[in-house]
Amino acid sequence: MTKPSGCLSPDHSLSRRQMLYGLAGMAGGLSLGGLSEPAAGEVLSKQQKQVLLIFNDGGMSQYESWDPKPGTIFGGPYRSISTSVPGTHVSELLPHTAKQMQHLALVRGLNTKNPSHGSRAQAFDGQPKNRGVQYPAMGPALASFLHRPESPLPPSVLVKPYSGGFDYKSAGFLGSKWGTLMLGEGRPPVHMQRPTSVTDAANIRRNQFRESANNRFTKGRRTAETSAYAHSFDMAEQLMRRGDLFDESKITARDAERYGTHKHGRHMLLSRRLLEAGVTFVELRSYHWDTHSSNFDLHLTMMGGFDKPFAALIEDLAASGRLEHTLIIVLSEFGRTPKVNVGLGRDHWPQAWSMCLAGCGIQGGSVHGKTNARGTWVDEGQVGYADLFHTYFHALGLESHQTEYVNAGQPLPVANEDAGPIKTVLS
Amino acid sequence: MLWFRIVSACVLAWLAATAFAAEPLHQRIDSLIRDGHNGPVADRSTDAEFHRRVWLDLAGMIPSTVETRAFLADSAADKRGKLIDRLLTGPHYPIRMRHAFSVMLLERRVADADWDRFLETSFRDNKPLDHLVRELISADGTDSATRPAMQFWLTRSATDHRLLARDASRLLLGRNLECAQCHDHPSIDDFKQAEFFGLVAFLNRSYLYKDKKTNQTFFVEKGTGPKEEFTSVFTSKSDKTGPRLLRGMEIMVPEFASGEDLATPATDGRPPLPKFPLRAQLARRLASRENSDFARNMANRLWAMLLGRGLVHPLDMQHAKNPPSHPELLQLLSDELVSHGFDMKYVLKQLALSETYQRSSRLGDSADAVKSQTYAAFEMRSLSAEQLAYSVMQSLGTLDRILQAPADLVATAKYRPDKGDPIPTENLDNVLKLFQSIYASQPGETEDGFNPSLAASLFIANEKLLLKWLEPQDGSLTAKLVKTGDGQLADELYVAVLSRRPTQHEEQSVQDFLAKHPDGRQAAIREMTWALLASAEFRFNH
Repeated sequence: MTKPSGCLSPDHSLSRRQMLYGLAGMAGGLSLGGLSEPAAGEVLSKQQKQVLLIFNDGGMSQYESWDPKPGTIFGGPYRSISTSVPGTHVSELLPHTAKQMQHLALVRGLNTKNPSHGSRAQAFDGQPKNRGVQYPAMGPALASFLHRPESPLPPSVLVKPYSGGFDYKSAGFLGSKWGTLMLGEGRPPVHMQRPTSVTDAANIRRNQFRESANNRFTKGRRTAETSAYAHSFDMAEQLMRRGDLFDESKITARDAERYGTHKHGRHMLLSRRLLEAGVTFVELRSYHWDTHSSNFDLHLTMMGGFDKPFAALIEDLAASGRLEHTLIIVLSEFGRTPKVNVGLGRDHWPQAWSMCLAGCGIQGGSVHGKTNARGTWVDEGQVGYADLFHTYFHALGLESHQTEYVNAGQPLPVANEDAGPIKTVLS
Repeated sequence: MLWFRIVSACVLAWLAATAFAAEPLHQRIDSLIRDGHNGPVADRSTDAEFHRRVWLDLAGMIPSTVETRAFLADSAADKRGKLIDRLLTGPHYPIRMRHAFSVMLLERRVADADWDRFLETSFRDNKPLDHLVRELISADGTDSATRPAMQFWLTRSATDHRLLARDASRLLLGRNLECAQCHDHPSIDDFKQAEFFGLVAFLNRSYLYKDKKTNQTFFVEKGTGPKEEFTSVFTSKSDKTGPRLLRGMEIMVPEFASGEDLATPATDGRPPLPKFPLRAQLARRLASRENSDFARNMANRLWAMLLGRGLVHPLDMQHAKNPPSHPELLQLLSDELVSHGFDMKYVLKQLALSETYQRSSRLGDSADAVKSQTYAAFEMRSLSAEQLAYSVMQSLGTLDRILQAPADLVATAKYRPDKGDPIPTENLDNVLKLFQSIYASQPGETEDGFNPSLAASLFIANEKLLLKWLEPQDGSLTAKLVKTGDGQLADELYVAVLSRRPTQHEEQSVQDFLAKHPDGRQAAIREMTWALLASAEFRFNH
């Protein structure tokens, strides 16, 4: 059996929520000033739940991060350190994060079974049963329930190294409107910069003339599409006004020091600012976690790039109160092998690894599951991607066994029915 | 099945002879639309509205100022019909249809210039649609006349036969069977797993053959192959099928002894060819007068092209639970398509002549309440990437210059305005690519309905090429406007960009804008022109 060809059919994509977003939402959005003022962002975000996924592509080693086994045969050279939560220890490569442990929950009993890089797709869609449809990835999936149609910002944004664009496929059957805006190298869409030949005054004048032309035209005609079109100009103006989000010269000295000047730190800071601006789902992706050789050297560098800005992010979101309604997910494709190979690398090990959660609906300081003394297998509380998926929904206040997509009249479960939420880590 | 053919032929002959036949098709369309709706109906479109609309639909761009003025001044009663005839035989029609059918058939997958030429020739010659589709299905590359047609398959895949079956069914039969890959459709009784695999069985011998000497590729078939086996993920029941179309029988495929299944072996520069090519069988059966699914699908797609939405909508969801909004009308259109030998121009002309097509999109305060499938008002739709590119050039007076500019000898790197890249060389290829990068869907994605995007509004607002075109330069609109007296300016501007005369109120707002502008006349002209280009009225075919 080959895999089914992707379900692209409009029949699969005409969900109720898409209709809301595409039509009523667009029309309704006209009346909103939106996020040009930070204060408006504050109000909106107090009502809205948001998600930040930090995806370390490849596998962050559980030994060198959330589940250290110092002094054991597979433990590697690094020590473990105590954290702000008594009894919970993490690798010494996480000194700053350790101080934020009261906000974090650890899932240490992951067995995701699939050792291939294809497991990324499973991490993202939570392994639903095959219904012959292309399920949306985590961002569009969660955003389709959380996103407010009047928001002037896209529902799902990915901050990543390399190229950007628009990933409509991530939306699966939800349809391309739910796709992900990808900010390659943290950069915005290609036409964000207004040429200097167009002054602010000229821009206001030309848009006023455009609006008066629209007012005449739309009278007596169906409004859904014309309003959506007009709204897209408002969105563009608003995003352009938030050019500061992408302007590195606007970064405060304090943020620059705490988040660092390296790429991952800058992207972590951009992610925080996108959340503050009101984006529903932000993914921050980094690559090169596939440490088949020089695992220990690489983790020294890469954990260094992760630890300090991540701790700063948690600290900032907690201080601003945003953490209460923002779910943070730190995930990889899989863990890394206990056995160290001849190149001093660790290979793929999906059988026993860890991930981290924080924020909205999460019990800070909790730990779920346990691996054995050498960290080779899960002893207690074994869970997989599907359980994690249920947990995200529950943390966001959505009962995952009750919540369904309505896809062309066909109800579809949001997560694999055979799994369930990890209650230990839920608040 | 001979008796069946005789009966159908008789029925068709009888239909053609009934009282209906005296009345032209476009009037029969209108009476069926009237029968289906008893609420308010929009007025007849103004000449200017109709003129812009039919230019976009049949020529792929808004009309030039000269065309618009001439049409508005023409007092002949039959000027709309004459215009339709002129556009259908004009130079833009084959290009417009090539764009429309490339989007429909390839769904933004990229084919080469041979494919473009093949389609343009087909539409210029008004090749019957069934004939064209048979070439798409069966072309294997050995006949130079139809060789480009094999890109219908090859832009998708040469090896993923299920993908090919899925798209053949969706696009050529209007039946989206993809759910039926894994199981009989749970809610649509007539989408069966056996139907999907019957179609796969026509395709599963196809493979890409590359001639080592000439490096030429062919999409040919093996002489033998297995039946398609399938298992339902619901019931775990397994079955198998040979090639079979919906409502047809599984076809008898002759078995050949090993080594005897080829009609011709590979010879110098030619691929091996089987004795019994299955795609030729598929072509003959699928794109035939006897296959009502095919005629209905094509009729529905032509209707959607001109009327903005399918009688069955979405276009690939023809099944019992998604009936047409006007069943008799769809039947009539597909019958007419068949009885006129799949003559596309005939159908397009009749559609464009109908009062349904010629209605205004303005319906008064109740516009939002009236359902679109009543066709009480003209269904607005957004311009495609290509219609927009041509229309922007037409309105700003850059079209002739761009069409004459030579293509790049070497393709340049992707244009990145955010990296400060200079504007690419101004030729048709680069302009189309630029608009497609913003307005077209992704390869493999169906273009269906209006999809507003930040990328598009940012493009209109900030793209340097557009801003450059707004500056007065040789032959450009703003150069002309700068030299036009205040009294005539609004008229020139509105006719060029919106293809209609301005209202009195609009004349006044143009005067006011000019009078109040702090930076002088040229700046005012630039800003007003931009505003009309960015207006909803320009963005939509209305």
